[in-house]
Amino acid sequence: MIELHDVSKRYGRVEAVSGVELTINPGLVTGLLGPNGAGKTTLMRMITGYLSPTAGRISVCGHDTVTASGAARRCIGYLPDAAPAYGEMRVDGYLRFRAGLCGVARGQQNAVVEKALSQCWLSEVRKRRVGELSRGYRQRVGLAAAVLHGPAVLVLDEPTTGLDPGQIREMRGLIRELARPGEGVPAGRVVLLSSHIMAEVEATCDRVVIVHRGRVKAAGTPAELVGGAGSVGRYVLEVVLERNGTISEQEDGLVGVVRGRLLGAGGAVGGAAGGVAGVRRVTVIGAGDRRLKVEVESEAGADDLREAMARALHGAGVVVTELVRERASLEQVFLNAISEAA
Amino acid sequence: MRTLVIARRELGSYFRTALGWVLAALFLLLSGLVFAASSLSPGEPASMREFFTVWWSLLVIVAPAISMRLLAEEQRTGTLEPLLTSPVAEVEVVAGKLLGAAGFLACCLAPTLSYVAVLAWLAGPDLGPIVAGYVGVMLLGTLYLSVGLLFSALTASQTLAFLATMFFLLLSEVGAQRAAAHLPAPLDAAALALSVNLRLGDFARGVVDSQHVVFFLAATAWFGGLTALVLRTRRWA
Amino acid sequence: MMRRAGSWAQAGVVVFALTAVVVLAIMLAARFSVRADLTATGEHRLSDRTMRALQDLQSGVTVVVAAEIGQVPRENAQRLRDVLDALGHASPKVRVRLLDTASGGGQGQFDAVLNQLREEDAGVIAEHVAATQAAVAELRGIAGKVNELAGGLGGFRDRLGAVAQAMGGASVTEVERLKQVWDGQAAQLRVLADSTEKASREAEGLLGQRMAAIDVPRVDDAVRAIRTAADEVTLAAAATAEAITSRGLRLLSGPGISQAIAASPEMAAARTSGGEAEAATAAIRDRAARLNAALAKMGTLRVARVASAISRNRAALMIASPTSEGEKPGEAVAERASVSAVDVDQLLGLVADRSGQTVGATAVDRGRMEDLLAAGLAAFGSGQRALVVFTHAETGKLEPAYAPVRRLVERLALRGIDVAEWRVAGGEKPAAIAEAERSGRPVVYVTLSPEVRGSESAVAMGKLAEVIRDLIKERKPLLLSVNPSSLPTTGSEDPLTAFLKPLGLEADSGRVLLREVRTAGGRVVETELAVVDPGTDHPVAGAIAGIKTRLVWPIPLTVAAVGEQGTKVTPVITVPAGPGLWAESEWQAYRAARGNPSQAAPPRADSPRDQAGGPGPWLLAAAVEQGEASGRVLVVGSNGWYLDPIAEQTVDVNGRLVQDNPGNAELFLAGVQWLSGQEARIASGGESRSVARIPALSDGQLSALRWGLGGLLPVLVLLAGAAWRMFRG
Repeated sequence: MIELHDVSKRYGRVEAVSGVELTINPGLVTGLLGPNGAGKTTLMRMITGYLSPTAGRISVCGHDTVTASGAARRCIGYLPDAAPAYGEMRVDGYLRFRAGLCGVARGQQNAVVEKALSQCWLSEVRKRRVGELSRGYRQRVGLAAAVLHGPAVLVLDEPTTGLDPGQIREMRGLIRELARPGEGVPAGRVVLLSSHIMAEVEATCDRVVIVHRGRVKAAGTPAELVGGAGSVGRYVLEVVLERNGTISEQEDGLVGVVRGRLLGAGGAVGGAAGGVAGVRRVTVIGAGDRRLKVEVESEAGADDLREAMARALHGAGVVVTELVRERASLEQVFLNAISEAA
Repeated sequence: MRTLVIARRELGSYFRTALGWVLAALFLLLSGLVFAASSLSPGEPASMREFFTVWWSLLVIVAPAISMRLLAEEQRTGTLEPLLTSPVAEVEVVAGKLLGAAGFLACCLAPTLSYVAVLAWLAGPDLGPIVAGYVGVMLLGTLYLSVGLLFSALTASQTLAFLATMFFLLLSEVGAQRAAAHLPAPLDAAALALSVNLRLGDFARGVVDSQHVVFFLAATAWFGGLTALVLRTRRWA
Repeated sequence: MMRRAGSWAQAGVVVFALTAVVVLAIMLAARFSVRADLTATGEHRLSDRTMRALQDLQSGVTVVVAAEIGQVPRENAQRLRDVLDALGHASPKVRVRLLDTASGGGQGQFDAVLNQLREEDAGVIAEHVAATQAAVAELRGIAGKVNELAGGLGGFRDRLGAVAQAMGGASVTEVERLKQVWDGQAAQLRVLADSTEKASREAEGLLGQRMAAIDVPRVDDAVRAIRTAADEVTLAAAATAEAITSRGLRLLSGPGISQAIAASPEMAAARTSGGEAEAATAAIRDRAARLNAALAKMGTLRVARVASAISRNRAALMIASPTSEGEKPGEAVAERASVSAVDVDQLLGLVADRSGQTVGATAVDRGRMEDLLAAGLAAFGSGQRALVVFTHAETGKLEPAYAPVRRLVERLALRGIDVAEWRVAGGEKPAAIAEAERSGRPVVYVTLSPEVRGSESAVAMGKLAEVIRDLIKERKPLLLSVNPSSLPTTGSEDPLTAFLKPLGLEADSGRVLLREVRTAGGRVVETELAVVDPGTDHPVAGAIAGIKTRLVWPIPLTVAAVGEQGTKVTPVITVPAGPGLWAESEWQAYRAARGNPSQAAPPRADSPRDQAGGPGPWLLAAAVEQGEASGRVLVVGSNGWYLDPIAEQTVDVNGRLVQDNPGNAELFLAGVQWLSGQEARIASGGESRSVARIPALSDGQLSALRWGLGGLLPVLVLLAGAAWRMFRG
């Protein structure tokens, strides 16, 4: 468990982090999301004890990172941004060195290193020099170094940058794996990673913390964030006119029918039905000879409208050929959070 | 324990890079020339006194060259971050680095034992002053390395660390003696006490004086302590 | 914000605490230091004797060695540094400074040392200058009085003439003769007044001049001039008083004088006049004597001693700090040594080399350096100052100038040894010497025997022999130099060697040891020996081992078969039998023609007397102990060897003036120290211990070694590096 109370960090006159209040629980992968320069790395460095907060307190596994820095650092495995490592050393040698640094007894070093090597798919490069490895392998070496001593807390700064898609998938799996309860960590690990890529966070994290300009803008599960107040639903709807159906004044007709059926009054052609509850706006995004593509925006907090919309259009002489709910877009949430601040 | 882990890695890293071997060969070339010129002439006493005297002045260049990369490189490549976030105290980092560098210095010196062998084969010299001379070189070298370590902690540029260390060493030695010549009574003795050259004379002539040993170790500890403090205050930056 | 400020404050506290702990550790370590000497020979352990000298120091001492270090052999400079450092470490009372006068800084520091000395003694110097100025005035006054007396004698002469006329019985010529006598007396006094006046002017001039190395008036030379003049006045006044009594006043009270004349007014007037002249003479005599005594009591300035010890920017001085134990410099001068010095040339090895022939830089053993310095430091010890009494048969006085031994006397003073003089012609042993003996000070008698010339000096010689006989009987320490004598040739006994027999020693003063040398110019016979290896292990011999000692007109000694009970004879200097070395009995002609060798053919070893006693080895100096460490006598088979012209002879080596025969002064010092039972103070000789040296190597071997160590080794290291990278990476 990592707890941050009112944590601020100033670099001279610049406030990199201000008043951060955060609790990160074990067993979950928590993602720090924010644009470049949001203060993610500063936060992580304060958590790992590389920097001391200017104000506030941070405790890791119950140890204050300033007053009990050593004890706090002992339960952290940290992969810094860009995974720096001694390029002239061999992979296994480097890992053995890191194991020694973390206080792993010499007799157990080999076992620990072997485990980390296989865990991070490094076995085939174990005798290569770190400096000669590709970026992806270096990242894995950094991760292996971070997990070596089985820390209760893993802090990973941008763990997937520089990896190819396949490696990214593997890395995600590994990170999720590490969060799960296991040997020595019955409640699972605290895994905190940072990224400026939404998809990354969305795909990996159980919990997302959005950081911008040194402040926490939002925190929660992706679903919570997406479903949270202020979020709107989006649907893309494509219809075609029935084969034998005719509608007078075709041009406007199809649009009118769809609008009428979905929005109700105002767009009516053949009825005075009230439309579908929750639909806020219908925008035409494409029209053809006998077909129409619209975007439907629902009211904030509305349920899934797909079924209601299909039913409403059914029997109106149009056939629904495509009905897609557009997924949410954490990006939206993120952009909202950022723009709010601005 | 962790100190030794760091020291071992540090010592190894000198040999893992070409720089370490080139440095060692270069120093050996210099000391070989010095030895051949100063000690190896027929009729001269079989001693390495001249050799050590020259070596002490060489250390002003040698020590900064060894120490410049210790922390500056870690800062430049970012490896300082994983090092300082691992459960290691700053003092352990400093002690480990220093020990590693001193170990490398010892490795550079080790081949010069062949000079002793040559002397022993030629003339059977008094080994006492030679042993004391090596002790003196190591003590002085470690002190210089600790100075270099401090400057290496203050900058990410190896070149800057090298130059700053060298100038500091030169100035402090010359300065101490100059100051001693001009300062009034109680202060001149203090200034002289800071001059390493006067203390080294004893080692060269085969005398190991506890006060010199304590001086070198204490001064090394002082610079080491300052370095640890610099590392610590970095966290507050 | 608060926290950050707090952390910086904390850092400051840590720096302060760290610094404090480190400084404290260094200071404590300096206080309680242990030195381990790793050398196999214990090179840097000071000898017990040196340690005793250091422990015995009664005040702080600054040891200053100043020289052009670049001209000193490198090994010597290094050893000197070692020894000085060892001394500095061994005693908190000793401060050492090695100054290179070739460098501007070193010369400046040397000058600063001298200036400091001058400033410390400024008060005493001013006192001495003032006293000397007063003495000049006094001397001038005395000169005036002498002049007056000369006039007064004229009056007395006239009165005497009147009396003589009144006596009637005396012829005119008698009166004239008397008058002439008194005219002569008056003229002599006028000359004396003149020379005294001149001396006062000379002293005044010297006061206006500065000492060679230090900017201080030449007080010592001025004092010497005044004392010499005052001494002359004292002697002349005594002679005049004697004349007034014997040739004037006695005449007036003689038996041939009738009652009438005795009662005549002329007689009364003459008596009064004579009495006045006598009183005036006595007054002058006393005044001059008082002046002399006062100046003698004043002692020698510390700076003057320093100035005498500095030779051409070279010096090895030991200066007692005057402030310790609340002494004033002046008192220190009077009571104990304030400055001592070591022969800097010997210390640095700028002396004759082992062959004794060529001169140049030689290696000086570390132990020798230590001993030289320790001997200098011993002068500041608690032991009583020895007194050397020059015992001689000369009519003139040595004091105060000690003309033929002046440098030697300075050397002695710098080793904490005083000198006095006993003119056997002048009568009994001076009271001051007897007083010194009573107070337990070591008193050493040194004979200064001149060559026997006229019958007058033969009488003096007999007196000297008598004195020496008594001294031996009283078991006084005695340094005896043997002079060649023509008496044994004529079959009679040399009185100046006769007394050696009971000591178990015989000196063949009728024969001198000559050496025949064949040169390109033909046959040359040398009348002196240069001894470098004394060939014995006597402590006195140790002092001159390895340095050149020059003995002129050497006389072989022989150990007699029977000595008196309890006497022990130990050889000090022996010379091995060598080609061309023999004891010549007919040397007088050669000696008489000395300086003009063409006039006398060099003697040959041709008479049976020359062959007596075999070809050697020859004993040239021997030590006699009449009992356990008492009644010591040191006999040297040569004369004049310690006089300045021989002992202080210098030669120019590459523009450097160095002492040619350093062993002579050393032999004297060591002899005196042995005689006074202070052999602990004798510095060991210049014999150097063996040092492992690089043997001669062929050019091939040498370049192979140089290339191997200088070139091959680095290449090997590089290859090792390449191999490492190849196989391990």
